[in-house]
Amino acid sequence: MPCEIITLQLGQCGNQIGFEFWKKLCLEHGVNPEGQLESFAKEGVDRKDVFFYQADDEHYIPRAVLLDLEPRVINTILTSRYSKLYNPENVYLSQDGGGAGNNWAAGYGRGTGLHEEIFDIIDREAEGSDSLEGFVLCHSIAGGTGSGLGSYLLEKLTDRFPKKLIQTYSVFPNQDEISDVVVQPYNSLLTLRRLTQSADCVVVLDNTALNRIAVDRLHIENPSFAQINSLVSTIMSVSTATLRYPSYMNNDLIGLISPLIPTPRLHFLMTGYTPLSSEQEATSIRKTTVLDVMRRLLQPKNMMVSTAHDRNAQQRYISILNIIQGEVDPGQVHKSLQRIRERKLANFITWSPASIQVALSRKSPYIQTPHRVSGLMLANHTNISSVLLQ
Amino acid sequence: MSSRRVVFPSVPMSYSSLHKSFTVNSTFVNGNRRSVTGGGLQSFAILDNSSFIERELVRDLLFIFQGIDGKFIRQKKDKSYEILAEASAPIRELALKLCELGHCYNKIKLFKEKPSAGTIIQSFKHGLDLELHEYYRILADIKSQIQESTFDTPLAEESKSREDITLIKLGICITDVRSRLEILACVVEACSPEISTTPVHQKYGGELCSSIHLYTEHGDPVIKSLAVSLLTTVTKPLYLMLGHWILYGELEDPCNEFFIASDKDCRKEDLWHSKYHIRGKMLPSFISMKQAEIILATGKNINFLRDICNNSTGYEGRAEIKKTIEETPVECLFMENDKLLSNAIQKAYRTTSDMVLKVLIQDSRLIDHLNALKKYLLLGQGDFIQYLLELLQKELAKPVPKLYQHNLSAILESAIRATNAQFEDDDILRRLDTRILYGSEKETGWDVFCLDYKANGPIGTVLTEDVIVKYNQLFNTLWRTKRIEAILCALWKNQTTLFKYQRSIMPEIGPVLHQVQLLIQELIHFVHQTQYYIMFEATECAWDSLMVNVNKATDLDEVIKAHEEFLSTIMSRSLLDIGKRELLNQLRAIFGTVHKLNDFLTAFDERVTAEVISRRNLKNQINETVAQKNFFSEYVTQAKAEVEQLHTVSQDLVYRFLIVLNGQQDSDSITLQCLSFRLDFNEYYAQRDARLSFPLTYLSRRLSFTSVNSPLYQSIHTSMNLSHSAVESNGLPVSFLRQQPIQEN
Repeated sequence: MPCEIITLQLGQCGNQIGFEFWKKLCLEHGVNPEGQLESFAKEGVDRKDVFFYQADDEHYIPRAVLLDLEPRVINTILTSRYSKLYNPENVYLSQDGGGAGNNWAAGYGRGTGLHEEIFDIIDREAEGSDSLEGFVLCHSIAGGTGSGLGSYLLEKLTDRFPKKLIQTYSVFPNQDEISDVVVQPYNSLLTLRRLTQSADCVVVLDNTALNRIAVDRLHIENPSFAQINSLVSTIMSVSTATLRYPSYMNNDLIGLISPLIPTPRLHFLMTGYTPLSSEQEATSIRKTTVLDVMRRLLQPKNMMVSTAHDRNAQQRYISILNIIQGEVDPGQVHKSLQRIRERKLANFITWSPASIQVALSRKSPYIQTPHRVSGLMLANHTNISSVLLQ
Repeated sequence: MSSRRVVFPSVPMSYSSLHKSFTVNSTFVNGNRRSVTGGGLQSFAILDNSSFIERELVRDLLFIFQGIDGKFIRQKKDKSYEILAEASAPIRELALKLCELGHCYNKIKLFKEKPSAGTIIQSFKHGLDLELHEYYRILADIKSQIQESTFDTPLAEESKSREDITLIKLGICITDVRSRLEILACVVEACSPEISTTPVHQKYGGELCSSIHLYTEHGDPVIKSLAVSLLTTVTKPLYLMLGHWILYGELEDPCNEFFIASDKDCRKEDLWHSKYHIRGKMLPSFISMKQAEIILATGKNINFLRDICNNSTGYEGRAEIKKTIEETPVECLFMENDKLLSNAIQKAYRTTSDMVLKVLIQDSRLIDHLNALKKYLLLGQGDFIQYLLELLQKELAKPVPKLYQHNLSAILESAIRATNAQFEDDDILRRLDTRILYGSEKETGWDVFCLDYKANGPIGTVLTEDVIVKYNQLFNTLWRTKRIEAILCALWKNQTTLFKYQRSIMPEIGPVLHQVQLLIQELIHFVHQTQYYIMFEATECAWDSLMVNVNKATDLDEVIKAHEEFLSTIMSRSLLDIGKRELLNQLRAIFGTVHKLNDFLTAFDERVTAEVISRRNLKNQINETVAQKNFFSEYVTQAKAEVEQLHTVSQDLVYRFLIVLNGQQDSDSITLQCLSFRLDFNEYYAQRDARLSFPLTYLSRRLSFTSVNSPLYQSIHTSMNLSHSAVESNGLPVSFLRQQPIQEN
């Protein structure tokens, strides 16, 4: 089976969002927490083997590697009902359990020591797949393990698998709160450098924006980590939807990101998702059409990256990919595109042809959502520089 | 009589001809009279008694009425009548007029005696027989009256005192029957070339019915009823055939008289499309074309169920319809006031159509097969297609003679097993196969490879061989596009890795890479947008309407039509129809640049890798000569120039493609506008090429609002002219209309 993707979860944050991500995937594919396929999920419309492989007894095991230098989060995972899902050999905990202490250097330095053991796991996973497409790395850039060990891994992966793609879901720290970790800016900076150099595609998950969205759009007073993580997992699952539910196009990672990234350096993507709804609030369901979804996706308030809201600035989109899920009338797509162009809702770069790409994807048949149409936007926007500047 | 002439065009013709034949020769030679008339009339020889002559003429006329020559009246070879007795002009005139009946009778008789095949013509003759019986009866009646008068008064002198049957009286007696016979003669004349004076061909079958049907709308109630009763007789065999066709789908028509014909040599697969057809000539005028089509469809449905689906149980309600058909009088066929028969036909049509649709859609799962075609032949199943492409890469690079079907099929198998296609229904997978189109030896596998779908059984009626060939063509085109996408993706990936590489080891190739990346990006954008266009505007939209139409369809023909529409929409929107040849060629040319780029980059990669290796070796010795260094930097400059040139060429091609696209002026130009709109969403191309700022359709729209002299029009006009002439003169768009792309980053 082509195009397998191995997920690496690093550090506290990475493991948390990874955990949510797998929960979501399991739900979408009808895999129960023990890895068994639910009885209702017998149709073959989805490709489970991109993210899962099957053990001898036919139960599904995620292609995931869990790494942390301190046992807290992973232990939570291992004691949850999803504990049997993961391959225990793929869980690596540092022996001394001390963690990286929010220190990039500590994380990076520990990497050298753990190199052998970690790459044993990764190699084994890579060999277990027919044609590995790439790696997905979940981590935060501010902490210790995620940033430090993550940076180390990024570098080494590039060396080891030069032909494989590396996509990262990187959580950027919250700017509105003053962190208790003084070295956070330094951690971020050092990690960013590795991200720029070694990763092929970075999906920026800005905690600032996520918090803002949780507060503004979902009306949650003090958003908890779990709530924000569920937002993140939604983004992750939808952005991989075209890989898992094959259709005309964008069936592999490269097909997904190659039209988004014109030159290798411009690989920081931001995301937007609509409609957002929380479990508590079922009343805010709106009528959704393709146009509505596509229009809302272009609104800055739905963006999961907090950028400087300066409309006059010469900030433009380099490329946009909208992944629309649900019942879509294909004739509407063109109308929406036309409307957006007429009203100039999206400013594009002028030095190269660019346009909004729309990919239609199936929704998981096993999850009921209140909205008919939902959409995710992956955008390459020049504005991302403002986040990087911070 | 004159009023009748007005109503029927054929009547005056025959009348005038009759008249002519009566008036041409009314002279006779007196001396011959005796020899012809014989000795029986000796006693009257001296008497030139007009009443006597008249009586003789009446007697003769009765013979003439039966087609036998009389004593004084006989028919000449040119079919005109002559009177061989001396009589006054009025009597002669009168007698000759009455001869007309004999003429009519002769015609009918001639027609009747002529051998002819066909059940309808036989029944027509039978109808004529019935009429003639009546005619004979009347003649016998008259005869007996005459005889009565002669027997009662053996003496001729006495008879004068009695009431004679005069010519006038005879005329009155036969008025009724004469008009009937005239009409019959007209019909007969219209049907048979031997009898007619005007050139007509032999009519039979439904055609005959039509010509009789004409008279059923006659204003004269007598003639009308005559025509109706005649038609009732005539259409009896037609009615039986019709019943048999509708009930059992069988044609019992040895003489090709029915208005539905079958082609005996037709292959089973073509049963629906070409086995049965309507014989327009045989279609009676009282059955409309629409009705005939319904009748045709009904029988076709029955045959389809029996021959293709092996379901010969007969349809629901057949007994009921049979009863209706048996009970309904034949007149229902042509009398419009009775809906009983047409309702029965309608019902048979509905029932059988529903059965056929049920067989097709539920039992043979037509929708599933269509979906499979969309998934596999129109590349809907992306993961499968992508994997297949990857596996076939090596095989398809070979020239055509080295391609082997079994290799391709084996690869197809493994692609199916490895992807989600494995979950597909076995029946569908069994039908999926590879196919090598006909190609010359120079072509490679890419040009001739396509997937095939074996559509036999009931679905073969919708998915005929022609249809599958169209699918094959579509597949080949889409497949090429997919291949270009795959090449570009691979290039992009290589670039990404090379970029990481370059930064640390070889900074001087940076500018080349940057240029290459921009070009790749443009091409990726182009190919992706083209594919999105094909997916949304072509396939998905057409698919939506196909589903709507199929669900709405009430019979198989509608399903077939909907599917044909679906295909032709996709073909036309995928630039595959004839009018868009130019566009397709442009598209191919753009794809050609991708291949060039690919070749170039392969060479470039090799060169760079070689350089890296040699540098690594030289690092230890640190004596790389200046010449060597210069050599490589020269190569890099040269490569940069090459990439730039490729870039210009490809951009030119895209410009031209867009211009042609905007110039398309047919029914589909709206959807083609979608493509150009997608390709140039941020007006990148439009800003660089003045010609694209004024798409032709907008231009023509504007022209209707602005007067010809307005400055706007003139400026547009000149710019159009300019660019046009520039293209004409050197084959390439003028570069001054375009600025160089500004590189901002």
